[in-house]
Amino acid sequence: MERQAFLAVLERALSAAPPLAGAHPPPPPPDVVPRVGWRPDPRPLAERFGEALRGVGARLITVAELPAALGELEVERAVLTTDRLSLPPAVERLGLERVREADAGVTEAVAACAATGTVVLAASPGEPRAVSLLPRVHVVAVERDGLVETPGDVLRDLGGRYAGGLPSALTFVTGPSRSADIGGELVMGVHGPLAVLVVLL
Amino acid sequence: MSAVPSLTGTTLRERERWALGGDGRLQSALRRTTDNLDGRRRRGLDELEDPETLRQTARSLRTAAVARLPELLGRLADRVQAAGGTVFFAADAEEARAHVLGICARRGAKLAVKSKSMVSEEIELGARLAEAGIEALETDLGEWAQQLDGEPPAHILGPAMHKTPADWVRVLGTVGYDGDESAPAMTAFARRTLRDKFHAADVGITGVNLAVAESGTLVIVSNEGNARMSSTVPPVQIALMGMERVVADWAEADLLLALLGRAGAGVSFPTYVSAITGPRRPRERDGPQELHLVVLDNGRSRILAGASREALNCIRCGACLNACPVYRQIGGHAYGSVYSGPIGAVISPLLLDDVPEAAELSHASSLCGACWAACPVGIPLHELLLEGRRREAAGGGDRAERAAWRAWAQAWSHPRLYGLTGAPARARIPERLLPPPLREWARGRTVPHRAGATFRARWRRGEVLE
Repeated sequence: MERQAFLAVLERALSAAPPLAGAHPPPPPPDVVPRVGWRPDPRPLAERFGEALRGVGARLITVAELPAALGELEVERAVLTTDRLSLPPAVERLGLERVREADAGVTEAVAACAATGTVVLAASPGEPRAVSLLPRVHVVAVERDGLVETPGDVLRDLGGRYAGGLPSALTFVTGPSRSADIGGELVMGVHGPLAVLVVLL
Repeated sequence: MSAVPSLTGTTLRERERWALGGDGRLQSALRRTTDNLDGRRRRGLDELEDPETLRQTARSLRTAAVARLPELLGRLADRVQAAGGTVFFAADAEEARAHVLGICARRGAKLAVKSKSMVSEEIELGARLAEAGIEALETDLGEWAQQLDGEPPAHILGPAMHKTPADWVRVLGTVGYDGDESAPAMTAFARRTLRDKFHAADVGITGVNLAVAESGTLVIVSNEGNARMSSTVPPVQIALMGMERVVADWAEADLLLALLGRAGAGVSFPTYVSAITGPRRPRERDGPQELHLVVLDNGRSRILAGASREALNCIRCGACLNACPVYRQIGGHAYGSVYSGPIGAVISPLLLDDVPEAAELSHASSLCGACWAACPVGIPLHELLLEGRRREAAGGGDRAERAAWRAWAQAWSHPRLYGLTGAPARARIPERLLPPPLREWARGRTVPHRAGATFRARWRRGEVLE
């Protein structure tokens, strides 16, 4: 259907619409949408971030802990999109075109949210979407400056952060891929990574 | 249990009997899933400072967005196109299917991977693609199991929640699984099997949880990662959205995402929130080369034109299903329509206005209001269910029943006649001797037996104290 005709149907429907059913129709919305308020938490952001990551089955580690963590997860081959982290010598570095063969993908986040353990990834020519998605382990570097309280701090500021238009894909990642579809049992690692390691720089 | 009954040719009562007549496995699975999700919802909301105010604000915002749908959809379409995507406005299911089929044909597609989309179920897209020789593979674990088993999904969030691990072994066995009932082993099998399909797919089909008009962004939520896969690996992405899914800006999207994750799965934030603005850009290595958005009416403008249009505020979280005492007993299949639970009982009769059997779905409710209390955007579902019953009665209804209610209204409008109606109630008629309509009513209910004397008699005797 033509766009004009489709929207005209909606205009007509709205112009003839009766009052809402129900005893208490909603008041008009506020001029400014209120922030999603969390219960106050005085602890440092990094500490809350670590706790939230554990809560969703991910881990916050230091640069020094990375080689051991990769060893535990039996990572032999990895692809990297960032020079903020380096791989231990035991791990072979693959080119981006071989991302399907990699055990781990190492990327950098543009922001992270302490309250939820969320890292925010932005697609670009240097940061393909598949690197954080196809390998079974996702290692993500987060700048301390990029750590904010809640997803709302990122979402509500997207217009300001990307004044020239949003990236083709922004992905908010909160822990490993998961499902409870089989018998209600929570299992990590369905289509995306089964382990997420976050390194705070 | 026998095959899932279809809506046409059956009554709600018959489908309820089908759901309740099994070995009780359905009810125990329902109890486990709905208790778990409803409990998680409450804990998730507890993290927030003032969830009730957020809920009321969300209600006002959604109502305002629906009231300016033409403007918001127009802006959304402009921005999606500016970002390099296409937008198609589909008046009905057939237009939407034909459009999707046209894209697939132009690309010579043989395999389409689907991530969970209620709209694709609503327009029966899978069957249509299959007719055209295109395999449309569900990739959400629960949806995949339902597809392999030839059953529709039973719950918005847990499509296969009624399946036991033994059922899963049987179903996955049809595609080569030969392991035991371990959930991790079956999940790993699914990951391997579906991963190959993702790489072989010509088209990825996704739903849309929210579309942000401000930036022309499609927001898609998943926990398994299949929506990310469908919007990363195949060369073409087709996103299907109900026309009411548009929001004005990111502040509104923030509020709704905070409520959606908590109300649906009880998580502070969904595992994956993908915000897609157009297809891949020049020099990007992945993401779809083509992004096609399909905006669907298919009866929604009928809802928009009526008193129940607050139903279009729904964000499809599934919380009302988990809270509903009727859903918790009969499950999703007994509703006979794609959308089940209280929200389904409200919108299905309106969406399916050419299916007479759908009209009575508003009776699949006790009007207790638990759905309304659980709804993260405060839709007064119990009042909309009542409105649905009103509409059904106005459209005809049972002639004998109408006559009986008219007689009752007459009798209770006159003191003398009212006094007479006390007599049959004193009679203590056994249920099996009730006339058939009352006997049917008494099924599953306790017929009220009054105390010895009526209020009026006791009043006359001076037994009622002031």
